[in-house]
Amino acid sequence: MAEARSTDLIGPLGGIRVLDLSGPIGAYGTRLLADLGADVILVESPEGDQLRRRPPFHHGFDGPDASLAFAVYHANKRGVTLRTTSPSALELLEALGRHVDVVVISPSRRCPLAGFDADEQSLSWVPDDMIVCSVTPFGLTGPYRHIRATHLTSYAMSGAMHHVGPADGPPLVVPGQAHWDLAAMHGALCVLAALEARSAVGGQLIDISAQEVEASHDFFFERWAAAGERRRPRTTSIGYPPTGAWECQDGRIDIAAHQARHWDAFLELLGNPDILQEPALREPAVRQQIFDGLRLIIEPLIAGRSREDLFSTGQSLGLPIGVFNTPLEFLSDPQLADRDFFVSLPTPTGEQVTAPGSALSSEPSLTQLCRSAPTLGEHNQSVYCDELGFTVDDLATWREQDVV
Amino acid sequence: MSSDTRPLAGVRVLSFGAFVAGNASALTLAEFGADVIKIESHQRPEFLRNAAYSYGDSLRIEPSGISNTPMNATLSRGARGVALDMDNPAGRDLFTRLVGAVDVVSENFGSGVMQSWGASYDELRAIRPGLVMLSQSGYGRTGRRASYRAYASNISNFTGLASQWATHGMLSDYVTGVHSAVAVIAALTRRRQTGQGTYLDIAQIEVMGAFLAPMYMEALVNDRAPVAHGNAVPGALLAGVYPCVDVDSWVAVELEDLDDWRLLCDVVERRDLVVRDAGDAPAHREALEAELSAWAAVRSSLTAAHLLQRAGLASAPVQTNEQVVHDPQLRHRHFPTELPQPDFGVSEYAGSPNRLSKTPGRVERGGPRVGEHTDIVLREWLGLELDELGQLEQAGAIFCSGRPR
Repeated sequence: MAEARSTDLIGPLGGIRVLDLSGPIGAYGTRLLADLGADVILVESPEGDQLRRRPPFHHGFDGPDASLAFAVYHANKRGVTLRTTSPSALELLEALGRHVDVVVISPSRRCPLAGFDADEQSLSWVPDDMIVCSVTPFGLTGPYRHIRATHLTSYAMSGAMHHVGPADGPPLVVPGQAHWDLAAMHGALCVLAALEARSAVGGQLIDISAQEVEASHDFFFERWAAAGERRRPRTTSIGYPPTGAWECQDGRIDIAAHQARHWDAFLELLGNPDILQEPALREPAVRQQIFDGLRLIIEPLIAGRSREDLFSTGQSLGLPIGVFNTPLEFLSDPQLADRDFFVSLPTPTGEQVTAPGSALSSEPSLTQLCRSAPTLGEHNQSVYCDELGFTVDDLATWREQDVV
Repeated sequence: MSSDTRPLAGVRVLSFGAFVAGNASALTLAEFGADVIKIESHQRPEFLRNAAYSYGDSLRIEPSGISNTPMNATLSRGARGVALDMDNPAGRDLFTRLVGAVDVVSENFGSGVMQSWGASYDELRAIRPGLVMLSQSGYGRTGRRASYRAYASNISNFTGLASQWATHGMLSDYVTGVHSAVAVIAALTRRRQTGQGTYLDIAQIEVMGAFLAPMYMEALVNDRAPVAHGNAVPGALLAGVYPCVDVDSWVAVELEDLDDWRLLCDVVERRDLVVRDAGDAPAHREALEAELSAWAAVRSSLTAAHLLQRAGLASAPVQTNEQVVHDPQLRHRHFPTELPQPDFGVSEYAGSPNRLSKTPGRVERGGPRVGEHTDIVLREWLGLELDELGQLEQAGAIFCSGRPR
């Protein structure tokens, strides 16, 4: 029984090894697999992963270990270096392939992967029963598969960007690399599913397209089929007040009054003003039609109230109402402390910093944080020599050849 | 044994999931082969059925008199529909019997609703040991804001995302739905290994806190407010979107290194703006952007992106709804998928992005009518006879579609 307990402790993916060759686009997903207990080996070029140069940087530090983005994306992973674009890496890749259950890749023309056949979508150096997960901007097949893309251009192409941003300004890209992180999340989802199916079907190839992920999280096809919608305006409201954002005395609040009972709660919050007593107004479709007039009536009723009063009184009446926070205000919200959300994250510089904890809160816990993101090549010796059986001399030779 | 080899074949899910997050996680489980039952009250149907969520004249009325919208039919696709009134004692009794036959129960009600029905996790796992229960909420089921209600827009604003991105944003609902599906599969994996169930208390504020962690690190570690970058990409020599010749049409361009800078100087025929050192780029960025803007302004977004790509640069049109629908890449990969739905007929939906070569994610149908599968599911799972179904319907505990209410 004691052994069963220790299995719980190492997480549902305990015993699963993952080779992460995906670079920035897959990093969020492999971190998630690591949090769930998988032994994830991050493979970096000898110059280091791109995320090592990504801000923000730990104040007072510089060099390849100072990026806080790197510290977050690659926490819980081990790290080796290998020039995976070069055919001379094949011997090591083959050995690594025999050592792991899952390989995560993101091959492209600019950053080709040794042994990857783009026409056959196959990887020469993995055993047949391998789970191979590719995360790319457009997928491994189709006319756009070779198009060069960055997070910005990938997001532009997805269609999600066009209707986000100020009404009279340019479309705006989602912060950081959230569009790619969402694709990586689907990669992790599919790896979990493929592991569940492995006893029935063996290994398989997962082909995640960030463009498809975004298109599945919107209603492009349905809007087109139902109403021939060509483009959506960059507005900021669903369109039936009080749902939307409002200026109050000391900031902004937003209300999501979708149900009839939310309208009732909203009226109560305002002290049941006579002018809004018409029963037909309980119906959102009616309020949608008189949008402008309603806004004019509601604005002054909210303008004189404080944000904290509206937030807590509204919530106590059952109204889905929220406040506009800055990131700093959000991070200091007591609810996060109440739920013990933050963790002490070790960084590759050897510090401990406060960082967001797991997205997957559960009882009993599914995730754990065991180690910092690796320093460059930190686990070369333990992986290549101790686990794969190469000698220290082999390692030195590869170093000279600039393979490791 | 079933010949269905999909990852979640044989897994049964009871989902009260509503709106986006609740439906999205159920859909993902259905794509992997789980038998997902969407429980809907015929007294209080899914709110996405409201006319406010129809586009154009797309509202449909089911034979029961309950309305339906394309958004609801999309989000609930893949599930079968059972209409059960939890406010009715016989309905609650029936729910308890269903719990005994399933692996996962999912809900995203306001706090306390499941408890008011005697359906807390502790009560349900007493009926079904090893049960995985998914609760999705805005702020989590514990802590001082546990009773707070939220929709995705509230969360985007609360987490500070909107302050970094000019939108009264969404995003958190889908992001939460997918994280929740990951959590459910991980919990099912653990149950297979140990027999142990899990209660998943997924809070949108925590999902976004983790998902946007890099954005928060500057504040947490360096005690500085994060900078909103707009379309500028940290580290890029130039990045942005530039207006093109059509109405509200834009091309996105990003220069990652000095080679890219030189290539763009060639495209706009300003070799004099070439720089040798990345440190010199910022001083000339405004001039190069002005050239690029003038160049883009007389071209369509598609032509501009095509010419820039042909020159070797990362660029793309900022695609509109219409362009996505006709996108040759999505079409080539057969991403759009036709599905049948009783009231919308056969129409095109987004396909599954979860492409596994041997067990691809897929669903067979658009979202169900209220109670479309009540009788068949209760017969299949609980062996109820026709007269028993009739009595339950008479008592108002269940509703079988096709008949007016």
